[in-house]
Amino acid sequence: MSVEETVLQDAGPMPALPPRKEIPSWRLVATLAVAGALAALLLSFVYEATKPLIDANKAKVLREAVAEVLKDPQAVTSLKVTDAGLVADETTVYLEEKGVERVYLGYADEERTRPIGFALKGGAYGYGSDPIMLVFGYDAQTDEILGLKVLGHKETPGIGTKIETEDSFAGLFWKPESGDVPARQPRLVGKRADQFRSSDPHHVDMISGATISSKAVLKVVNDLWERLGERLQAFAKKEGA
Amino acid sequence: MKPTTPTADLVRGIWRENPVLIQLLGLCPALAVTNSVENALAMGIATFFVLLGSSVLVSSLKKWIPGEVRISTYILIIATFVTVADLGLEAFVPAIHKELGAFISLIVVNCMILGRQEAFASKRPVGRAALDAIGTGIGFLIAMVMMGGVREILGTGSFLGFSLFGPNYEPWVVMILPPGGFLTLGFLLLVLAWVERRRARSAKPDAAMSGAARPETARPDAGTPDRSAA
Repeated sequence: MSVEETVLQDAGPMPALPPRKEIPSWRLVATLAVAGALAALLLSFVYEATKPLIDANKAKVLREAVAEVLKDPQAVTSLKVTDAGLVADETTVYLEEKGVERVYLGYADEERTRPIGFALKGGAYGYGSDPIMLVFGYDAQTDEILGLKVLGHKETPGIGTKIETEDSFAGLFWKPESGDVPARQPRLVGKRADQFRSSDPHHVDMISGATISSKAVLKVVNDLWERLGERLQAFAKKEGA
Repeated sequence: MKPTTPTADLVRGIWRENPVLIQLLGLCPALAVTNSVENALAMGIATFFVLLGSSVLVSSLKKWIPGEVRISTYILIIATFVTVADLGLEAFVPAIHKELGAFISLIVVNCMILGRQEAFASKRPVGRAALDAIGTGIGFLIAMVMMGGVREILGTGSFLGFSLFGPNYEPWVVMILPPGGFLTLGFLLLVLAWVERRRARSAKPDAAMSGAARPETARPDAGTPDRSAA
């Protein structure tokens, strides 16, 4: 029997079905209701079991990013952002809460006497479906950016992802060890390679082909600084940070 | 080999009726998350888990599921397993969960899974449904890794994150972008069809013997083996 014959046979008219026993509609509704209730019950258990792990993961990601941009602080205090200024938490909180914004102050010693700088978290839309989220370290006294780490993004693979992988861009946000080139300072301005001056602390060499993604990174830094800069400086002055 | 043996149930989905490469089902994840082998593997394993869980459950509950609401019940069962997989991935491998994003939730609407429930699991005993799900799941996994391998090697010059060609390799970026998914799938299907055709041609002399088995390949839903008896 050839392939065609088999297919034709199958496509032939269906034999008449025997009359089916009528199932009352309440039974249909009941079946779905019971199935839905069982599924909900199961999922609520799974949710309860996985939530602490998921929260711990999220907190760990933020904690590691804060530690990275402040270059290994020995102690970190989390500060709640309020209209009046910054209020220190009693214990350091990394887990995000709805409607609460926090910044992190890192210290070079465990007694919290020698502050390194603040770590700020924020996001802005680039080219992807989700905003680019990042953390950057900021020294309020010298007005310098200490380091920057991208937490997550949905930028185009191979193009917008260069905000993380391209050293000539990402490397600019890390305070250099030697003093020849200044650290970047907020109020960043994106420049083309031929206009970029590494001696100007507000200049950033943009990634060609990924202008929108690189602009979003600058926007996060500039916006956070504009919104929180004064409060950070006031807090730093008050605490001697 | 009769199509009803347990081995046949298991093996069928792996190659001869591979869900992606032969039946062309489940193409959304095969195109969307195969830009690296790691993502493809994670997606394949998550789908495998959902498929196996739903097939076993659908098959064991088939007596209690009225025909009129069977599809909604299947989707409910599948969605439950998908949510479990979603939460599990987020809790244990957050990095991969972040990469796969919304595509994990989209396993719910993977027609390959619903297809196996409707065509196979809802009419067979639990054991056979499980074997069929395992075979189909492995077939899906193989197809995903094939796609992911081609795309990652060409698109980033690495395999599972290990650099293959050194720093001087200029990555073929388009391969990890969406067009690369379509290109890779197209070429894979082309090669497979060509191999299949050559095999069929060389097998022609003894077509009389293998003729009974051949139509199975042409018909994806051979999950109803009763027909081949006709």
